[in-house]
Amino acid sequence: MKAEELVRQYKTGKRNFRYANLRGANLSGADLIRGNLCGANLSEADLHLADLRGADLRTANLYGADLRGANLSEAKLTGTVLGEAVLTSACLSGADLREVNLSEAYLAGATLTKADLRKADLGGANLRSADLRTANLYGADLRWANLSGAKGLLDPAVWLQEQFESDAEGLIVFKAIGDTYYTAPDYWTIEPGAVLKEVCNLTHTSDCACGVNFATPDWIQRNYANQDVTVWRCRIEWMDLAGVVVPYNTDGKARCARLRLLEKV
Amino acid sequence: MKAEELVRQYKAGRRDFSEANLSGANLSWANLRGANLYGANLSKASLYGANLRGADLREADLSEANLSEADLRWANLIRANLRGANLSDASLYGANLRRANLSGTYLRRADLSDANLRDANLSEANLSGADLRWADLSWAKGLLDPATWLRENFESDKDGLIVFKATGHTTYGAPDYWKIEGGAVLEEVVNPTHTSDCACGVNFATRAWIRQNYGSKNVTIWRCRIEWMDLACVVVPYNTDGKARCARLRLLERVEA
Repeated sequence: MKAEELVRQYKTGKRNFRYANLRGANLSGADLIRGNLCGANLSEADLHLADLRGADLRTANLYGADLRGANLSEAKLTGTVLGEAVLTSACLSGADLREVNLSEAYLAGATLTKADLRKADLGGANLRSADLRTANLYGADLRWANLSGAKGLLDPAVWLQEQFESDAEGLIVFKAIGDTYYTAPDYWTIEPGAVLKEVCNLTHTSDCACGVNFATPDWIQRNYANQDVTVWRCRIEWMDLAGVVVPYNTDGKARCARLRLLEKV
Repeated sequence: MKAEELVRQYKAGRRDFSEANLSGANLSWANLRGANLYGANLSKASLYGANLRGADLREADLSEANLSEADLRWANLIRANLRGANLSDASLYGANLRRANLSGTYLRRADLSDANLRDANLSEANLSGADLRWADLSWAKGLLDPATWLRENFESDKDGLIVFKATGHTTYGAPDYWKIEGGAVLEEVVNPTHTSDCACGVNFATRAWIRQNYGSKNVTIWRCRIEWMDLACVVVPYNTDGKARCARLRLLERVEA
């Protein structure tokens, strides 16, 4: 199918372009709002400034496509091939990008607010100055990603400061022990003054992983109100904050390598 | 047992090769999916790109074996000896490495996501670029503890940790928005991946590292402070050579090299 033909048919009201072969097509600035391009071959296509709001691009091939400044808000992109695609300054707000391979992708200045990036491969992606506010990064791979100047990522220090008090020696946090999701290892002694240690998985996109979990009182109340748990006031010494992981998508829970039980509350 | 014989028998349908002696065998790209190699001696064997998906390698001796790019997804490697093995780019997704000896192994860019590494020995393992998402590291030994490393390499005062930063002719130029003067706070979004040795953030280092890397270059060394709370944004890569990164630090004063 030729680009002109697609645009003409779209203007006459056609929306279904599933599996269309548009390899290398010039569709810059084209209006394709809510178009169904599921499985289409758009590799190397020029989609610069195209309007693809709400478009269905699942399993489409966008390898090497020029999507600079394109509007892909609310677009469905699961299973889409985006290798080598240029998405600089593209709008992907609310887009469904679950498990998408965006490794080495150019996403500088892109808007990814509310984007669903669960388990997406962002390894080596250029996310300079990208807007990631309220993006869901659960399980995303961020190895070597350039996040310089990116906006909206949770700052662990700010979050801890907002949620917990501190004293001269460290941060005062809370921990539930007893009938919790994860039982305490045998080697932990549960008594005031005891130090609980565990190797912490330091991946910030893993919401739940090994380590000494702690939470806000509110989180404990919400999750264990009807369970047989003891809530402990604990301290994480200042230096040990270097081993704390606050997941990007935390709901009030974090983990650390070491904390001291102070008293039951 | 010879490599050719093993491959021939596997093709003929045999799966049980437990306790086989295959030391030094060349099994590159061999298909041994689901094979029972329990307690086998595969030390110094070449298993480059081999398909060992779901294989039973419990207590196998894989010391110094070449397993680069091997498919070890869901393999059972409980108590296996992988000391000094090359597992670069290997896929160990969902593998059971409980109590395995991984000391001195090359795990560069290895996929260890969802792997069970409970009680594993990871001392001196090279984890650069490895994927550790959802890996169970409970009670794993030998992993660098960021707090311990910081304590051993830097001093502190009542407000925070005192670290060093080189500015000027460094590998990465300072962003335009940074003001390089005493009292200024430098901020940058930090890549939180501990297996990425070098990534975005405000880099800092030990004085020894700066001397070693920028000794003859035109750089200014700053004594800086990372406030206590900001230690939560510090990333000390597992394989650090003296360099780490943070989201925020304050330049205090210039110091002599």
